Amino acid sequence: MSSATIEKAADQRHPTRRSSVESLRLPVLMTLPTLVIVFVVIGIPLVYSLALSLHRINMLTQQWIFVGLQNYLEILPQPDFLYAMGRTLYFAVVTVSGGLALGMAMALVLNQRFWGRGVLRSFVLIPWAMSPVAVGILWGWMLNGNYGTFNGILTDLGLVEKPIAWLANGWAALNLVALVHIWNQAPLASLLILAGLQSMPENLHRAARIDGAGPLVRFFRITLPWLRPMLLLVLILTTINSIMAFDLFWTITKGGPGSATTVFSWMGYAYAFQFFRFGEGAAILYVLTILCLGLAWLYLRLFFPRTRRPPAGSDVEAKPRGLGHELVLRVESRVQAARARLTGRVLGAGWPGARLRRLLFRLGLGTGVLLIFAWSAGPFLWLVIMSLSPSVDLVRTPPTVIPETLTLENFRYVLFPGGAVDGQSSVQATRVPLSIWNSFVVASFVTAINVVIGSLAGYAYARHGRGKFMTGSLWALMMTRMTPSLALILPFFIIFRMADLIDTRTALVIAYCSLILPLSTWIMKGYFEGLPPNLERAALVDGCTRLEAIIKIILPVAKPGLVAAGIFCFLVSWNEFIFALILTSTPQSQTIPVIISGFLVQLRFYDYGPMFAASVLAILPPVLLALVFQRHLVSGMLSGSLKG
Amino acid sequence: MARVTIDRMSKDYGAVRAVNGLALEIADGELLTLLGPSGCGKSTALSCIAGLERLSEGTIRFDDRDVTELEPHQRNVAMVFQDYALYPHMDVRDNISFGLKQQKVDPAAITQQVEKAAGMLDLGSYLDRRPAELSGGQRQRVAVGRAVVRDPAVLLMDEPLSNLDAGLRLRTRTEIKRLQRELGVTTVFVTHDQEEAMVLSDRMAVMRDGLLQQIGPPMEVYREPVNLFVASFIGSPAMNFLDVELVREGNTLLCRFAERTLRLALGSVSEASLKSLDRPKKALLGIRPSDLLVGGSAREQTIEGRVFLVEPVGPVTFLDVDVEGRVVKAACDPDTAPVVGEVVPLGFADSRVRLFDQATEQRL
Repeated sequence: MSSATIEKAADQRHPTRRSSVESLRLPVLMTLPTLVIVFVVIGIPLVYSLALSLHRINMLTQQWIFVGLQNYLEILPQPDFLYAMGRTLYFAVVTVSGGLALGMAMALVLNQRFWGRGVLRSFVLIPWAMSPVAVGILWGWMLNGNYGTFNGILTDLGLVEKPIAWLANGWAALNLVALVHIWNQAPLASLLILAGLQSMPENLHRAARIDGAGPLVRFFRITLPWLRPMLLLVLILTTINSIMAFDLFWTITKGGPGSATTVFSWMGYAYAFQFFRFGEGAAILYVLTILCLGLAWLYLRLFFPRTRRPPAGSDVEAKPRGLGHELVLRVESRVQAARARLTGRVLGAGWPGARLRRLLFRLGLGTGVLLIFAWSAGPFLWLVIMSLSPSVDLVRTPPTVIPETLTLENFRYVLFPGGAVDGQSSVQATRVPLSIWNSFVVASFVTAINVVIGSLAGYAYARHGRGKFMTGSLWALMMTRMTPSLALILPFFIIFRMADLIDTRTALVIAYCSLILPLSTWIMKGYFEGLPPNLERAALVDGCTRLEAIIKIILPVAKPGLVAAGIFCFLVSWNEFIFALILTSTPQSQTIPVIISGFLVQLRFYDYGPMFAASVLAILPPVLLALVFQRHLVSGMLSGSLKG
Repeated sequence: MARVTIDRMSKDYGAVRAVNGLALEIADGELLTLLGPSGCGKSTALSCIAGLERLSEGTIRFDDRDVTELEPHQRNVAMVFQDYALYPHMDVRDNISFGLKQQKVDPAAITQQVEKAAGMLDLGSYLDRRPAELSGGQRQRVAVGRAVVRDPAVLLMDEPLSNLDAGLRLRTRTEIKRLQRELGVTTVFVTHDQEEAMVLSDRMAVMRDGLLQQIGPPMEVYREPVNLFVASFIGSPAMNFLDVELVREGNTLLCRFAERTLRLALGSVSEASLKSLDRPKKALLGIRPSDLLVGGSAREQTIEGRVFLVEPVGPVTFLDVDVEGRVVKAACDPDTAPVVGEVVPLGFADSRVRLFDQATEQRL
């Protein structure tokens, strides 16, 4: 390493001066496993797919012909490409703004004091903890044009004569997928915003109230500015998630009807894996990658610890803020006037006004709480009910939602496939137990590896993150987190096939580790940074070596952080779909999301019940983990994303 | 126990020199305080002695052993941190015994030593509690116990009292002094509180911007500050400074300020400085409030001023007095305190006057 030799040279010039090489060795050693895994497993495929995108490949003859940028040039001007781009942007704008607004609204409600708040905070996480495949199956069924839940409700209420084919209209389909995406993603936004709200010093609002600011002024002038860094984080995270969205399209619309929901990621997938035009597919996915990396760059610019913003910024902002303030004040005074008129008319002035206001507030809060509960837990509970319904009940015409009987038959069916009754045998159902086992094995290995290696690296970055090597590698590490996994799949597939790892759980473990390690490193880094540095110093003085100080003091103290990171890894690898779909092909290594998605491919009416039972089994572990460890998870993600 | 010799020790953080050529020797069993405002390098110096920071230059020796290159665990030092840094996942007993276990001390001996330390610090009934279940004062005592139990060669304390409330701080201060005397352990105590330093120290070392300003017994530093910084940093309320012009006239020193002229004894400045005073020189006259007394009977010098603020603090009453348009703090007996608006004579002795060169800020 060149920096080492420079240090050596400096060492010789000042004989009394100790080089910093020695103090750098430990952190470098600690980050090495993470860096190797991430950069070998992500870096090589990225280069490989870049090569792919520059070639035309004949699948039969295995011939590579170098075509330069021709794949890009052919694809870029195509109307299909431009439409897909437009749909992606539309989808991103709708889901990001919708998710942000909904997240903010939920956070504001959850920040109030009411009975059962802790439980509701956990429930809010349910949609986020569910695997996107299960989400897609659940909502796809609820929106089903013949038997779906919404049609059932409407028919039961006598509102429609004929079932509505929700997803047959392209425009509606795109917006409905967006809605489902918001349902899936808003919990994250809301809990991050909630954490921001809770970190706000109470006296800020007290001071503003004494200064005469009403609730609206306080929201816009105190709360929003306080939340700004958090909102920016949420904005960027959800934008990247929206651009990369794939699982929901796979399970709900498959890019259709026609090409109405063919967004960018779907298009890349279709080119590469349906039309087997690897070169073009790789080119499309590379454009997606660049898009994401651009956003990632923005993200890191805004949040990276050592990025200094020009101090002049405050000056520049003064004017528009003043204008905004003016506006808010005006709205506020209107609202107050209206409220005064209202209360004056109804009850006369004086104390009843305050009482009425409190009553209205409680009513509004109650409504909000109920709505949040219905929105977050409702679909989940409905999935449970469907999993307890006999298949024949699910496909009644005209559709209805009133169950005739509830039975555990579906679960018996998928858990003990040997005892199939009624001659109804579903091949897919027999694969469920093994796939759950596969999911468990893969997720456990990934979690264990991440907790060990990721925490080592996280510690090194937290405590020794100053050098050029450390800051640079952390940058690079975080950039890989922003690489869309879809772009990696094609090279992964090809490389794993060469290494004879295709269709093994090992392949999944390797792939997931490389995807999740940057994140777990980041979370642990944030957690370690929250620990007082004097802890290790005390241990050093007490006679520990640097390694002993970490093992005996830091790791035990950091246990909550390790738990949070571990659960996070478990959730992500348990729920992951697209890698598992492409990299496995037999039940021997397929995970539960792949198996439940398989139900969709060859769906018979008697499969519905088992499919929902399998879905419930698929989401139960992550949902339970999220419910129990909600607090851990949020604080873990927070420390990982905000502290620098 | 050990004698600590620090030789031309410097510590750089990038371009910043936090400690600059610090050289001092701490006698075996001595309690030395490093005193200075925040950012003066005192805590960095302490970390260097502990081995938590590598020196950029210089050496540190414990007795005759060069420890400059040694890791903290090889130095046999103990440290009390400002935030205590107790191990949150261990109870008090494990916190205190952790260092002994690291040294592979025999378990029976560990038990005995922990009991002894706990007894000294009155921690006996808390041994099974976790740090989170202790009050601030109890945590502080655990931190001290953890440090002294190992019988360290050098005990290092980094502002160990600053997180305690006022009353507890005073009591603990006394406790620490007593404990240190009893154990006879060489101690380096870092603080920014000059009163704490005065009370605790055998000697105190005043630092500023990484440079050692003055080192000596507390009263010596208090009485004979070597420069303006030390004079103004030590003592509360702070020393008064008056812009004056000094010139030697025969056997006296003429000291003009505003329209007045005071005659001071030649002994008010050093022999060396005297030579430069044949011509008038801009200087600062320093006098501590407690040496500037209302009444002025049997005092060598008297100035007059109008009282505009009276601050009784109990044993004495301090006055803000307007003397020729300058605010001067003086002291008086609480029983005979003047009222606001009164014109009072302020008397002081020549021997309490300290004169500083305005240009160099050094003592004349």
